[in-house]
Amino acid sequence: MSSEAQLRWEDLARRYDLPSQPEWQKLVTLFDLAEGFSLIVLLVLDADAAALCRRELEKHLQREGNQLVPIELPTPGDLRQLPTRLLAVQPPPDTGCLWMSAVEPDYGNDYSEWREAWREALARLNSQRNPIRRQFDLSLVFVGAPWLQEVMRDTAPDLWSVRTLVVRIEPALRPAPERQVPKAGRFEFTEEPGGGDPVYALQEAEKLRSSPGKELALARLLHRAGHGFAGRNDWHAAEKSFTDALELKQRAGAPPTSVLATLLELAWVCHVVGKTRRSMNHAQEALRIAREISNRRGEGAALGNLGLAYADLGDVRKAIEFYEQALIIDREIGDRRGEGAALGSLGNAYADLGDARKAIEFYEQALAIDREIGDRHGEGTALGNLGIAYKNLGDARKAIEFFERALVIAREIGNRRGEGNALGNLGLAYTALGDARKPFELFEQALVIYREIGDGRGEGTALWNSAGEFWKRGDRAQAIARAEAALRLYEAIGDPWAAKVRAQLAEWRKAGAGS
Amino acid sequence: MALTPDERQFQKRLFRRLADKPLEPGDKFYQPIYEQAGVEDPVALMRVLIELTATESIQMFSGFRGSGKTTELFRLKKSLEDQGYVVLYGDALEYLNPAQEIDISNLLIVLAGTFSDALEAQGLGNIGKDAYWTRLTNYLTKTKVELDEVGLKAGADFKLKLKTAPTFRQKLQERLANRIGELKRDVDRFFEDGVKAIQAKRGAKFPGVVFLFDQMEQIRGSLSNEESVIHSVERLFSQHLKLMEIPYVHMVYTVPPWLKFALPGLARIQILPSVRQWKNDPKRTEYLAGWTALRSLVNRRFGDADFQRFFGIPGPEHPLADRLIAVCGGHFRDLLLLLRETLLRVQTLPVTQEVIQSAIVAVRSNYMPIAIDDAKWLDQIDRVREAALPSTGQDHVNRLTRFLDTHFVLYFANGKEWYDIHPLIREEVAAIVKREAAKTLQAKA
Repeated sequence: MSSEAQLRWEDLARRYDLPSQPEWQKLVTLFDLAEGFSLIVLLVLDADAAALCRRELEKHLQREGNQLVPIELPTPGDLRQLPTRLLAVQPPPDTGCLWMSAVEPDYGNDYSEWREAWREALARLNSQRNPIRRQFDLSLVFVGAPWLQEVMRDTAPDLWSVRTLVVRIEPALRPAPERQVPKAGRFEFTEEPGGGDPVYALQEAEKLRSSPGKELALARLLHRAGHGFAGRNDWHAAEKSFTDALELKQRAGAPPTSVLATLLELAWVCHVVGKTRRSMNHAQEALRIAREISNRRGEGAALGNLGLAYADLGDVRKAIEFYEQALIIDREIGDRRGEGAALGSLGNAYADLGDARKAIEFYEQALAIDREIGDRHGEGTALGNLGIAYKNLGDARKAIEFFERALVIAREIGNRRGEGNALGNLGLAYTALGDARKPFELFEQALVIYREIGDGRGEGTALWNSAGEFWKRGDRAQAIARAEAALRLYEAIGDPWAAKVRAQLAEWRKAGAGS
Repeated sequence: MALTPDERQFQKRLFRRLADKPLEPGDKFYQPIYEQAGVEDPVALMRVLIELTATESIQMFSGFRGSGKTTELFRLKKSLEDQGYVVLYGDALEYLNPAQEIDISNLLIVLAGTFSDALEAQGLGNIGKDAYWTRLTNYLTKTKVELDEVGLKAGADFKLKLKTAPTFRQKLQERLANRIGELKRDVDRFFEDGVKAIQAKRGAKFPGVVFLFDQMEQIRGSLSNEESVIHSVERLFSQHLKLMEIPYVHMVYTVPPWLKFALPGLARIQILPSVRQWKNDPKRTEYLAGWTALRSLVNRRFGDADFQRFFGIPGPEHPLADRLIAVCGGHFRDLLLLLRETLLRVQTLPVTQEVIQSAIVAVRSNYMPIAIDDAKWLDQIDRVREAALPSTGQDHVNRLTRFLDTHFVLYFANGKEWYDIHPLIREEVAAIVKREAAKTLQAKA
């Protein structure tokens, strides 16, 4: 195996950390317990995850003297032939499971074709349920993207009715004990610059509400209001306005470019408020439209937003693929702002992978572009990210310098979220320096700001980081209360960090009970 | 904390007992839940109808996916055999391709052929030398339907051709189209000979012959021809039901449940209902008989000692077991799924509340996502406790059937039929509908 491939496997294994996942444990327990026929539906995000699961399951079965027998399905055509091929299989006596994997994410280029192929294959398999149960005295594992569940339920209800287990595997968590707030570069595609006063935009919109034929104008005003709210860091109001605008545009048959603009705004806003799945859906839809109308700028922005969503889910390699695609497009069309955002995001991704030096290279390139085009917001973001990278390299003093410069810019341009991030990150840097007092103050200041602007993820992070400080100080009750509050927030937005908090809480409670 | 080796063995033993496979009456894990007092039992009703009808009858039995039709059919078989009936079983799918249209001539041939094979398999009747397939070949020759004309070479396997060669089946159908009356008479004569042969073997003193023709509900076509195949099944039952009655034999057909909606005027179909855990009132007041039946099922699978070891206190009533029972929707297969999920997650014994909750969450996710349009219909069913079928058009019937097959909707029959939605989706359905209503209001404002 080449060292690159080896690294890729290691990264995958680290990202998924299968042995620690309850869903994975459930699957291997099933293999330990089951006898005879069983039908398992394994849902994974992409082909990489499927490959990892296959490798781990192979290892597990080998320990028991059994083997995994795959029915390879490299093309939709092969998948369509699955019923014939499955019924013709003569598995060796030591077969532990038959593995049938075809994973195409719903953002993939060939998604429609794969979906149709699964539908066809499953519909035919459905009518063979009883022969299949009679023929196979072992486990059949169907592996697909999450949408496979719905397709199997609807197309193959007989097969579905005898499922033994459905297993969902998603990336595990980043193992860092404390949570920093990297600032994502924004992938912009604005329909109109600025945004102005959102309240006024809404008032004007109200006047058009009951006027037939004015839907597109109304949608434009709502979009404008969304923009205005985002400018004020009122993310929930922004999300609502953009959502209303999108629905109106879709209902009234607005031009695709206009729909694209709102979708991209929504993808960004949902990313900010921690609604990752929703952000991903909007970005995917935006990508589809952009490609359909050959809008390269929109395509670049959609790819960038998709990368952000994957990074939020912990799939950093995938995120890098998207950022790189976005970067190519931005350079091709000369979109310097987009280029800066892509570079910054690549820096975040490498930082997540633990490669702080490479991260710094990207951040410095992003910083240069932001200064060149006078993007103060981007400049603040790049400075903050450089601070994080230096802190991760162990240089907390240099990190503090960057965070302070980022804080100044955030306050100067009224970027409340950036201000919260800079304060929180400063808190962590002082923690690293062993300062017992400053982190508390800084986390509290950040908390106030996050609450004010309705940033659930930021609020959770501030609470979580301050919980760590309380624990160190010996105030266990306060630490647990804060961690519980953080957990509620993370759970509400589906943030994968929730599991980390949950695990830590369990340990703290145990330690608390023992003391 | 990990399970000890002994606990692991215990877990393994329990897991095997929770396997989901059709059980025959007499199996140590078979729990006759429909036989319990207060639980509606369509099998008992069919048995009574057969007993009350002299010589011959036609029964239609159905159930949604995962309702345990085959197991209940075995129970019917056993209870009729206990009364002295000769009960033969045939699997339609061994002779018919479920992805192809069906017509009455093919069905009659397959009925007689299946009956013939079942007689042979059970060593009943002295018709081995004149099995139906030989007889059919002779019939076709006699009626001048040349075998090579329909694509059959002498000695070829008629059964196999019927199932696997659509052109053969189609040609046969075309050649017999004007001879249905003649074919039916020949088939009837074969059944009559078969019953006579049974009588010769068993003596005259037996109440009758019952033929269970299973799996017919599986005929539904593939994605490309679903509509035409479903129409062919509809046509069969709407136009040819009379031809499906067989002299001297009580015929029990398992039929697709959607026939009930597509052909509301059709003779009564006995549909296996969900076990009723609540009454049809606004508060869904608990219905104890259903709970007792489902608790008895759990207890049967676990056994007294293992139930106590797993749940911590003796059964059959236990708050944690009851939490699983409460969300199974009266479907034993869903209950088994919930129990398996729980068992696979257990890290300590007895099981904890957290494990039960995570198992419920996992099984609930099997029902997600719910489309907005589906949620609206489901909400209506939730409120009016009826199918709320907008029309008997195929689209609506298909959607309702899908709801019932996937257990989004539950079917109950206690005197009057009624419907409800699965407990695991109630909250999600309500939330979607609420969200959509708010959007509509906002749009109108």
